Amino acid sequence: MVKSTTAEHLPLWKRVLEVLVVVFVFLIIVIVGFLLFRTVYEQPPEDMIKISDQFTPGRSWKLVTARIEPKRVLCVDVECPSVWKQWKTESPITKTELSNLLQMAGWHFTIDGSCGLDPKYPEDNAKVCEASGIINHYGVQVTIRGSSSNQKSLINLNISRE
Amino acid sequence: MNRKGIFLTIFSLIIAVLILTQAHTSYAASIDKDCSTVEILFARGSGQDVNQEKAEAVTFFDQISERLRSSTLPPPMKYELGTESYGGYQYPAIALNNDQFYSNAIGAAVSGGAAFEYGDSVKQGVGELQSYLSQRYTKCKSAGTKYILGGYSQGAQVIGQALPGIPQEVRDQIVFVGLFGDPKLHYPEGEGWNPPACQGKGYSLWRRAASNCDLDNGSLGSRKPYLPDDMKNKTGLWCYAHDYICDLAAFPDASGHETYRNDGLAIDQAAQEAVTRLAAILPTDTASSIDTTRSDTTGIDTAFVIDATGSMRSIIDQTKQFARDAASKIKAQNGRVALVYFRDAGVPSPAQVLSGFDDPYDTFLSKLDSLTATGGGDEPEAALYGLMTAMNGLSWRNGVAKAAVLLTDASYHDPDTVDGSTLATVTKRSLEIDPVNIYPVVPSYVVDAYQKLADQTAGQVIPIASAGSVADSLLATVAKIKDRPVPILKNTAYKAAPGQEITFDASESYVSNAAITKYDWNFDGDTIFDASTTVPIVTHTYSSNFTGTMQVRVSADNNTVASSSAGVTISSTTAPVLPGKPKNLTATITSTTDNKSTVKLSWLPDPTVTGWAITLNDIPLGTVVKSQTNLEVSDINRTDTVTIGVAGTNAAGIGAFGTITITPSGAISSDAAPPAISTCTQSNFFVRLLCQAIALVKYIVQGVVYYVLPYAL
Repeated sequence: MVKSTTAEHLPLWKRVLEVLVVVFVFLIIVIVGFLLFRTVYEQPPEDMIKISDQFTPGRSWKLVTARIEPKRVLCVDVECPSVWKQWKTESPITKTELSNLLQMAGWHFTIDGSCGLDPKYPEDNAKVCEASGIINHYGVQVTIRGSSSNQKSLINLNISRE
Repeated sequence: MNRKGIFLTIFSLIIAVLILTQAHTSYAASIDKDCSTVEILFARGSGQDVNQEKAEAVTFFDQISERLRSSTLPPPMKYELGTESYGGYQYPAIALNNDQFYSNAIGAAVSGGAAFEYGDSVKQGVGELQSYLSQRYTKCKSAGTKYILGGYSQGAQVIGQALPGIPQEVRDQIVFVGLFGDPKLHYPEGEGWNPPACQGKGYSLWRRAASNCDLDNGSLGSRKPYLPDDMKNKTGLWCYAHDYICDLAAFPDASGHETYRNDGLAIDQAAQEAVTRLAAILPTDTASSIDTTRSDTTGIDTAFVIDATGSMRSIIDQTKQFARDAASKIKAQNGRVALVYFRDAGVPSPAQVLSGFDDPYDTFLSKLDSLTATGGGDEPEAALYGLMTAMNGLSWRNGVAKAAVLLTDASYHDPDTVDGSTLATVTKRSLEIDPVNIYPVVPSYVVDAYQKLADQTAGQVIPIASAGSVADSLLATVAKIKDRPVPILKNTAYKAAPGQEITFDASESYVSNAAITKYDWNFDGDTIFDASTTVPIVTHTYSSNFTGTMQVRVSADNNTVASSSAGVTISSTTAPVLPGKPKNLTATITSTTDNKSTVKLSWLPDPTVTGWAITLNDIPLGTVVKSQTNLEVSDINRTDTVTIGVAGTNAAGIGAFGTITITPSGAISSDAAPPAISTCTQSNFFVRLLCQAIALVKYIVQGVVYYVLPYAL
């Protein structure tokens, strides 16, 4: 008697195993494909990083945060792509200092605000001055914040799509 | 062990205990800070960092602080959730978009924001807020500190979820809560088939902005009750259009979710409201030092639509000078400018956008510099085509004032010789963009020609008194745009049935340094204003179906006007009802061979159905079109009693079944009750079990055929 090897004559467990293998391989393909797609799509914003590198922080500045958001498939509550850097200093930043830094970066921005805290109004984390403009179709913003309680400054550099 | 060893061991243990104790003690710098009259707390969105610049938290703090700076109040205290740990909680504001398989977002979605990483993050925020606020209240009670709370996205859920757990005496010190883009939003007035909000009624006390009139819940469902009773009139909730976080119907568009912090929009408005409420409860001498004047920071989009025919040479040169001088004024008003030129039919490009709103101001100036005045033949020019080019070709912002400044020395073709635009079509298009008010800046000899265009778009004609005063006229135009009222309708769209009353409410409209004197209402989007009132609320009933735009034009005593428009849809809003049983359902056995019969069915037509579903012994046989009211079913097994069912289907679903029962003896009865899912009465347990299983499969198949396939197909 010749044994048939067609599918309908395979034992049940072999048929189930076949299906499971197919499903497993399919899932692997989907997962790997998804990861590859994200890797290719969600690339760091090189243009924005180059712009941020044009801004040279002061020697005494200490980098608090450097947050680089790539373009993302799912973008919720944060701007994607974007670059945000924050430095802190132990002393206030003057308008002249900020103007010099902007010039060194080659950015011709107008500074809004005096960059100084009002001694009669001791506010924490107050925005004391800001400079913004467009570089290569990206919005660039430098914000200085000061606190009366400790005289420290926070310098924020934001780059986002305009 | 000798004494030294014992001593060292004990000493080490003491040190270890101290270290461990210190490690579990929260470092609480903010809680110990001096009390201020006002303290602002904010919960950030998913994935944001504490103190993140250009984020909603710092914007909220800045907007309130700037308004209080000129007062006699000390600077407000600010605390952002997640800065420190309180009560063992510290808000992480977990991100939704940077884990490998979006498991945080998926977990949030499937649990309605209550479980998994996202739910835990929210609970941390709730715990931290409740602990921090209670401790600060205890410390600052004698100072009478008042609190202003705000939350964005996940943070809005945190704030709202925390409120019920905050003691009443603490909640009594909360002046205002601002919630922006809340994924657990709830507007009960948006529920149901014919929600009252669509007729301008039943607004929740906390409603400030809704993407649509029928918005009722957020992307993670809704929290019910949404707020404790005492917080309902102290909370404002904003959900803008194009924000699927708070309006899932907008998915996948989330562009609106980033706009709450823009000048003049939600956070700016919330800060204004918070400061106004604060001033209302503080002692008079302190309150009077707070400037609660509402500054017009809503922003302006201004398009310059310029006639570039030969006769405009000198005016264009003066316009260039004006544009340079006015740059700082427009920018200070959070303004954007665009440039469009037009000529007349017969030239290759009769009109074109030269510089859009998104282009840098330098582009606007350079394009203006290079604009030359040439050509033109007859006196009227293609001004209407130029305006349509501006309205259709520019990206106008939502929520800002919009103006088209039309510079020409000639009248216009009506209908236009380029695209056939007419005064009516230009007016209609202007209203559709919420609206774009048109300001013709023209010589006195063509003022009359443009008066209607200005009136119908709630703009104004600015005459050029003489050849040298174009710049003055343009400055006057910009001043009119800046000083004009800001009309605000509660809805961006209204829906009702014919004969149903709609309430149009423009009570939030305002004007800076002037007073509103009149409201003109245009209910059907034509060129005629149908009613004029001195109060900002009016009702109107549409007697027949209508789809179009309504408009309210607001006039102020500084000789300025502005208008706002909203879509109106009037149609029957009766919910589709399930069809009843088919009437006069009859059956006739037309033939029988070898215990198989053919049965002819017939019934009466029903105008409420879109089709008919047919079953045999509860197994679906198929569907037929609505017009077919008779059917032959063959191969019916006559050895058992059979039941044939017929039911009408429509948008509401499958209606009640009418049934025909045929016994083996041939007795036919109609309209028997549909058989229960299980009629298994076999005495043998296993046979009965098998019968139950088969009945269950039949039920599932029936459900798929009737409830899933019609919609899938």
